[in-house]
Amino acid sequence: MNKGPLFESLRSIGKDIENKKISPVEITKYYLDRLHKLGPEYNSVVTITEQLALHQATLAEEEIMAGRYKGILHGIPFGAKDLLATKYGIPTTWGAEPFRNQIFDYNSTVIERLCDSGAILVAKLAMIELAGGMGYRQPNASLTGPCKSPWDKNTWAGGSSSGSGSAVGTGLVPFAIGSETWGSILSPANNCGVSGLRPTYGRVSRYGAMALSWSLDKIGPLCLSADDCGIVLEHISGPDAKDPSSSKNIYAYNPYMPERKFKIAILSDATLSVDSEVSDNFQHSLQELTRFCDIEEIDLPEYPYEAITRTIMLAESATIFEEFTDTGKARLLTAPEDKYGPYARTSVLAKDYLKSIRLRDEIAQIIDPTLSKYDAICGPTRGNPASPIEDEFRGAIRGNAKDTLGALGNAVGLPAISVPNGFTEANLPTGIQFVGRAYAENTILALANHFQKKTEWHLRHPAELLDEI
Amino acid sequence: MGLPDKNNEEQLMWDQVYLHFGHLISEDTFENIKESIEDIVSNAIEIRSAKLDHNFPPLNIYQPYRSEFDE
Repeated sequence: MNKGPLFESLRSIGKDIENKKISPVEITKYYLDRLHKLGPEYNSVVTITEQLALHQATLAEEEIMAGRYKGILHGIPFGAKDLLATKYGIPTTWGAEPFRNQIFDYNSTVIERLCDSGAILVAKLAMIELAGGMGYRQPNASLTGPCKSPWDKNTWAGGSSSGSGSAVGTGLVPFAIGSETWGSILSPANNCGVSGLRPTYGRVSRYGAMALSWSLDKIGPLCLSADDCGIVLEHISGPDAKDPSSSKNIYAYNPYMPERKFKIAILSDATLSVDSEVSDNFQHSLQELTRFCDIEEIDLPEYPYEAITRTIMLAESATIFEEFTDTGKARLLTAPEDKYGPYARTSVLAKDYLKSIRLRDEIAQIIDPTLSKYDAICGPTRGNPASPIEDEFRGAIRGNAKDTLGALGNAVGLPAISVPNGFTEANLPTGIQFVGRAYAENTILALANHFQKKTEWHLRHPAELLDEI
Repeated sequence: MGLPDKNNEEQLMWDQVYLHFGHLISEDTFENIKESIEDIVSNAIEIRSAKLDHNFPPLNIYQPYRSEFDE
């Protein structure tokens, strides 16, 4: 291989494959080697799908050599959060001991679409057990152990798409797929210093994905840049007869660049209770953004955003995991708090759940006119950088600060992207998020792309991993 | 009889959880589960006190189903 693919963009790798400078088999073996070598060090991998990957790579190579190039993802390896069903006898563990040997005889739509595009599945990636839905409070809530940040193995990769963030950040895969019910893509993007896109609810089919909360779950990419996220989203999105909640809108990645400045809003309490270094980095980002954005401070209408989102998640997960709860299988989970987590939520009253979803409808209609005045609302992705791997954190989803943007965005199903926006003194990455109107992925991707053209945070990689080249 | 206060409601919810799952949960987790119930009730109180605009149509997500639509 003339040039290593490590930490290269999807466009760059794709071009090299198309021009036959590198072969799909060669690049697949390269990443398989890294997965074997580094995956266990970071607890980021559940299953390396070596046999399937080499078969797919050989096929891709034959197709490309025969002049049947399928497009930018053809021949490029990827990893998938282990809640996406895969056939071929590959386990889909949901990150949880009771499902360690679970096998499906079908592929999830996302896996199917990526493989149809010629992408090569090299690994099923680690995740918080049952996508964190049982109320975990510590990194060690996974059958593969606590997943580590690429920037410091003593800190947590974030969750619940832990392995997807860590594997991209450590260069074990060029891109990965994660999922978010509330925070599960953006949190690992923040802690691992990568870009993570939570699409609009319904944008990506959830057929074959573990359900935690059917009206909140979304599937999206974690990549090295916003541009890569847009490329992957185009390949995994679109209507799917197997998922009635999937949107009928066709998505084409085409980040528009307005001839005017972008217009973004920040919440007046955006940095309230967040870590001081996170706040500092956010302020520096705002200075950078003022070069191409008009920024206004706003307040959201008064609603109990977090209570609404949490109540919906608890009620829906209680019915999804009814059999699991009733049969006492929770005792087999890893984290002590997950062993009793499923029980309390069975007491959520129907009227409180129903009022929550009525309030959500109201919020969705009230918030859109506000959002329509801006290209995005932005804020710090998390209130703090990656926490120590041994520490329990106060709230699984919230961290130490309020997460109004996360609660609103996930309840209403708005798209958001997190990109790195700086580092702390301890050399841990922090993130900035851009939340857009429903179906406005191209707008927030354009904003994030522009931010990444003006900054180089996303081009930084841990020094010890660069030594591996 | 008035509405249950927060403590009473938490107790009623705990009784319900214990009734259904008492055989599956161990005594050393009782307090943890009660804490979770406290959170749930706190969320519920916030939701109950939120003003809902009743001019919005009530929630209606049900659609009649027919396997073949050949009207």
